[in-house]
Amino acid sequence: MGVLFETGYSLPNGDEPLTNARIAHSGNWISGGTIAASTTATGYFEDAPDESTTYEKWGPSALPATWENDLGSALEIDYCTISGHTMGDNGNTLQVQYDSTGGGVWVDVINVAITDNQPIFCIFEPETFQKWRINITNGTAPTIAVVRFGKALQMEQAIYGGHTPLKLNRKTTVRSTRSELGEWLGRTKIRNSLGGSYSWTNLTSTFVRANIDTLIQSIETEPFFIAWRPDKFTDVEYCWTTQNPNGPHHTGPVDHMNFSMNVVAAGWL
Amino acid sequence: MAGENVVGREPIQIIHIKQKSCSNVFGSSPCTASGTADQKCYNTYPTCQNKDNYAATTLDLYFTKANLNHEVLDTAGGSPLYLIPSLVSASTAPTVINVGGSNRNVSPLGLRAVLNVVFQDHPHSGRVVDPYQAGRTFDANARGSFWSKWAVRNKYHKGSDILIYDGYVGQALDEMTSRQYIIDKLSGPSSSGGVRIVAKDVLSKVIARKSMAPAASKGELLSDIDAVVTSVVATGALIADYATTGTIAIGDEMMTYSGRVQTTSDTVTFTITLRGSDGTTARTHEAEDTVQAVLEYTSEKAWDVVQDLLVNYAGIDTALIPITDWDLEGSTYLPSFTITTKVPDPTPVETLVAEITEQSLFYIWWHEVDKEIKMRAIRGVDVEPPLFDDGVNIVSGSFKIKEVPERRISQVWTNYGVVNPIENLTKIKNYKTSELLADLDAESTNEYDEPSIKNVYSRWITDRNVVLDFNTKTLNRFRDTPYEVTLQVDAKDRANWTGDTVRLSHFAIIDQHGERVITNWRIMSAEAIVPGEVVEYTLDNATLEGVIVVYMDAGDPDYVGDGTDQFNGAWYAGADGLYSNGDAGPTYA
Repeated sequence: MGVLFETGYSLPNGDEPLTNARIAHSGNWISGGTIAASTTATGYFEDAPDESTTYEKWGPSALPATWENDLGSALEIDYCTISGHTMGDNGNTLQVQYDSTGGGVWVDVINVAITDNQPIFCIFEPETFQKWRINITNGTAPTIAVVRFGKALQMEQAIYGGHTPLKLNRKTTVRSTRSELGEWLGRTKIRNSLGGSYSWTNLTSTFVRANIDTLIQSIETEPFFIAWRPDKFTDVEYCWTTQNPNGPHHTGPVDHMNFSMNVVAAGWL
Repeated sequence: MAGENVVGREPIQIIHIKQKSCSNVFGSSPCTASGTADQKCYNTYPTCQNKDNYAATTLDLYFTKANLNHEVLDTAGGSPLYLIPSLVSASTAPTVINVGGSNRNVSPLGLRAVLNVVFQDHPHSGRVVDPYQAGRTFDANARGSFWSKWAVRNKYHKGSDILIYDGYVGQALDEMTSRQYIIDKLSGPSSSGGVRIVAKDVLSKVIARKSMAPAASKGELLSDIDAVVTSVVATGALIADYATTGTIAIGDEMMTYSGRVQTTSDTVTFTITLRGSDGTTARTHEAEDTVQAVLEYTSEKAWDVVQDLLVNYAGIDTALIPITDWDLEGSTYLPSFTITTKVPDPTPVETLVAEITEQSLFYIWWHEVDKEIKMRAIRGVDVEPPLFDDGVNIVSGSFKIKEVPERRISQVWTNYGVVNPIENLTKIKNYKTSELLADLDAESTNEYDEPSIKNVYSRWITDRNVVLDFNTKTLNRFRDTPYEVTLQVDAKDRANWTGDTVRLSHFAIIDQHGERVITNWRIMSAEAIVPGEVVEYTLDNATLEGVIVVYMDAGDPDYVGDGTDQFNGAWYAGADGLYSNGDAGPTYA
């Protein structure tokens, strides 16, 4: 599924075009909210999606199921990202909602039937509310590792030629065995990861100084979500850097800078 | 559908640690501990604040590699495992069987299996490992790392069970192949976050420094005694330290007693029936000389003695010894191997068990997959082994065959009937009798041109017929230079494991005319060298052990001779010397 837009989404004034990447990272998502789930099945953890690890998950014991994050105060939110989920396999419908009155009147910003287990980057027009949640209906109970709400970093430039989408860049080891007399005995596949890089050129130094330092500091400690070209491709990755990216560097006499980072993402889902 | 036979299979490894834990709840009866949420224990013994009420159980912890993005259920349709993705690698060195002690460079008990597991340390939320995580006021992710905390909270991890599961994506845990070991030591975490656990098979409990039989007795002579007194008082002792009747050893004298009583809280008085028993001489002894209980077996089945040593002196759980299977194997193939002996000095259990198994013609080994100690007589096969051939089983380039001349035996000297159990047991003069069996043809210039002598000192065997049987079977088995084969098979053929016998067909195993011959080989060791993908076997040629056959009676099918006849069947020829299909039967020479 990857990128999901609010029905009737209209690019807010002043936003970067949707040719440009959207990034959700620990510097722009909300943490420390109060978590509440409708139910939690045995072996799962209600508050696990509020952390970045993917091996600790929340799974409801019944549907419909809600997972709510009370942010503590009304904050402007324009994304919800989800990773490590099985909503595609479980045939679920996902609703991302805010409490419009504080009294439990929930309004959809996203309402979509999920068809695969890829990471999800929901993009909607900014809304300022205190309570946000996901509501899961239809199908069978899924599991979800990470759910984040926040206001996305919008890159100033698009990513141009030469980029290899991570989801197509599988790092897989395959081996076959054959017998002494040449018969083919079997084949083994070792799932590893998705790998690649993101590079931007001609970013203004103003943009870089306002945003990239925060990004670098955030991804030093936590994974991040990226939708690298949301207008055209649904690709969303939940990835992390293999080492600190080189600092942005000036490219010449014009006040422009380049920035890139090498990343890996969880293997295919 | 998942498994080793699926093309494109995706192997996964899971490490399972059965962490020692407490089943009580902090502050709830019977636990009397009290404190704030941050002062609560972690339900482990080192952190326990009410050790008198500690209730031992185990907590199951599972680890896998970081590239596994799928849930694993405990059983098909069951519950998901809490899988911590910190496993970096897991490798094993396999159990190696030493049949008949033929490899003189290692113990007759063979080599112990070793599991090496490497983890990468990481922050951790405390979920699952900390039962009170939700109530604590601090963020566990921000305090210490998973393994640094685990090592402190579980410092008595030695001896805990650890299992390695080899499976495939899509399988539930109980559908995977697993092998079991016990934790020996933990190293780390290092400054780079590396953590290593080394685990060994359960028979590592019998190595010399861990277990002795008999146990060293605490009792000491209360006062000097002369060479004739028949009432001996030991101080610092309890009657439970000594059998109801039996033998004690003081210095180099052994003496039998008919009873012992606890005369004070720490003195035991023995009623001696014979001074200077078992070939020793009655002597004077001084106060504070040790009064050592003598381990004694009389007409015991050899495998029962091994079980007794493993359970009562090495601390091995009886559940790990399938004694019913041992009894069936022993009573069927080793009925005459009974043991009568006295062991006066604390002796490593490893030494005793090694001697018994070698001299009683059986071997034991830890079967990691079946998770039990197997016992097998040195004997022929009684069911048709599976066939491994170079067409569909043996992986290309993996087959190697070599002679092992150091295992050949042309003479067996067995010394038995111990004169004095306290004297040196490796001196021929300390034995009443020796039996020698030699195959001089094998030593002739036309054959191997040199002797190869196996010299056995047996404190266990007392029956001459058993000695003759031992000598004959040993010489028959090792009369010719043994061969050893190493080969690899795809995971689809990994069902066979250590101790199993297989038939081998390979272009390098031929007769004098160049024709392939199919021969029986025993798996001496098995190792998943590429987990879930390739298994390597080391095998020794078991062809000389033959096939155990049963005569077919009148109600059984006639001999057909087309390969479909019962594998271990033996048919009588008729009066005309022919089988029912017309083939000539054997002749008696």
